[in-house]
Amino acid sequence: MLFQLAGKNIWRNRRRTLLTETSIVFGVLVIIGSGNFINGMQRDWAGFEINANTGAFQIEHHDYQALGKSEPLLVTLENSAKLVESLSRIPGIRSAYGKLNFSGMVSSGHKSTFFDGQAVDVAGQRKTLTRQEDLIISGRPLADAPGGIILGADLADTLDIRIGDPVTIVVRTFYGGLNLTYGTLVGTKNGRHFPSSTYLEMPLSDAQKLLRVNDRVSQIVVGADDFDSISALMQRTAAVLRNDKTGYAIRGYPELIPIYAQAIASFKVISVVVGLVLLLLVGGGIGNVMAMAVMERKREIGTLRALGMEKNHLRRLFLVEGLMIGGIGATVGLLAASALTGLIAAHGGIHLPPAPGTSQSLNIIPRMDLWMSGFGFLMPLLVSVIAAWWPASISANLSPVEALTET
Amino acid sequence: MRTPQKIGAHAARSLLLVVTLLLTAGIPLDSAAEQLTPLQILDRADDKWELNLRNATVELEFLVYRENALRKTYRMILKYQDTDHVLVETIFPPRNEGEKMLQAGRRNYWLFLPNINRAVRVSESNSLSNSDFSNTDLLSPRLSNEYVPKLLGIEKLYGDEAYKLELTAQNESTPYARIIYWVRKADYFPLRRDYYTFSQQLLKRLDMKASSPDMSGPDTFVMSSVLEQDKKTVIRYLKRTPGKAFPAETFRESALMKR
Repeated sequence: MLFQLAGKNIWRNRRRTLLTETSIVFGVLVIIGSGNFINGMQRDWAGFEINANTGAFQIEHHDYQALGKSEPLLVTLENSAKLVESLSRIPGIRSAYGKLNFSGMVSSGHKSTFFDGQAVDVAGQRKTLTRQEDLIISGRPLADAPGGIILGADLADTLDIRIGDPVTIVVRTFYGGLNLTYGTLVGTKNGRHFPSSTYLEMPLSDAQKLLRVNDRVSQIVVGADDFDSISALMQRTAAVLRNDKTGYAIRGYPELIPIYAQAIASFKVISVVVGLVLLLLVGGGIGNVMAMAVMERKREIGTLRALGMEKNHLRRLFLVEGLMIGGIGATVGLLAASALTGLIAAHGGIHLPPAPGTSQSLNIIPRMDLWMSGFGFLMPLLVSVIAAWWPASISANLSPVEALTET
Repeated sequence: MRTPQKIGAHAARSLLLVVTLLLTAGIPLDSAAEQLTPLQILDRADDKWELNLRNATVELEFLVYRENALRKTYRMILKYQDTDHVLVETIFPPRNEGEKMLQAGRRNYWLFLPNINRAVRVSESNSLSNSDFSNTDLLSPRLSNEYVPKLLGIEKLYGDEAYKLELTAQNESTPYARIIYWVRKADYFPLRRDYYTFSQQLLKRLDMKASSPDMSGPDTFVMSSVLEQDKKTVIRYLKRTPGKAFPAETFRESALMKR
């Protein structure tokens, strides 16, 4: 009865109600739509980084974070080939490979500078990081043959060298002596998670020979096919490694991409703030509609009160009217956001071109975000009730005589 | 009775035996007179370099050349307790004034940077003030502590006859795996060192000279790198003051920040 009456009342002034509903639908669409976009961007960005840079997670010596900067070769994993092989047998792990971090001096013959190096098992990297070629600016990725060197694009500029030029690398070995090797620049690379001005990449076997660290690596990079099961896979891997005497640390992709978690959190805060501002405006609109309704329907309120309608009943009527306005807008907004998300996803998502100086484009496919969808749907309802509360209270407190005699 | 023929034959056999023994021992005939082993030659060359650097100060100039042009000039004072305990203080340029490098024992090097007021441990193979010298090149001249010498022969260098020694590192923690060392035969003056890495690649070359004939040891050191063309660092000793005793605390890492 109450809902029927409220339903009839809200359509008395169709134009005003439609305008209010439009503003609610727009607000809900923006909140849920941006939530879905961020959710899609989060997954696609993470997917790109996992397949181009970090892998799903990495395994390292438990002291690597403390000593890795100053003495990277002292906190390496021994018998790495065997460890990689045993990890590759864990169900859910697509592939794994070892990488060795080191530093030294690189020279073009005319200029020299310091570098932060990464030596990689080329075949394993190819299987694990299926999109690592996207980071290549010029030339090609490392091949299985020894002697190839990849430099950060800025480092290659500093040394003033081109693809095919020779480079000399000098390092301090695991035992403390100096060692030197020659290589050829085969490619330049750029990425968000390594400094392009100091980055050097070379085959693992070359670096192990150079550094005199046979079968040692700094990290094992693990690739997984199923994005949603990475956490569970990390737990299973930790359980397998727990039996080993070496103390391992496992770090997942959000930790390996520091900017990732920060950026996603910032985007979410921005969308919630925008959503709250929109809801404030929507709330103002609903409050205005309800206040107008009270003003216009004073005589009617007086009649209802004179016929014996309770104050609470009257207040509930106006609250239900507000709730219905909010509910209709929220539902239509949710449906519109879902349809729009599905439509964009069906058309291949939104393509973001590479940032200046990089070669990494990103294709964002929006995905439903349950948290933002819940927020976007429930907040208009709550705001509608709050916005209707004051006019409802005014209407309930009107005396029947005053209401009926008002002109 | 021994006939003169028998005596002659006996003498010839003895001479042949001596020559054979010397050749087997790998000692060149013309150095046999002094009967120095490669280690003794190396020790004498080390002594020439050291020039009684115990309890002494040395003021030196450090000239860094890139592309054949002088890029940086440093002046430093080295305070020696002995060759394992040395404090290097930079006095020029003003930007680097107050920087210190301490060798507080063998393979125990510390760098003090006044702008961060912190001492950090550095490796002996780290570059000294971004030059072509590493810490060990300048501060640890006694190669006989770290290397096993072998005499390869005698060669002419700068017009003088010189012993050519091959020094092989005693272990892998030594910065250079191999050094080829030329030492003047006449007075064991160190002439040149070629430094090789563990991959047996030439890394850099050090040429040593005396600025005047009165100098018994080298006072000018030119280190050229094979990594870059036209790149070298020249060290010149400006002033040497012997008989300067320093408190033992001077050479402790804990005292670096107090000064």
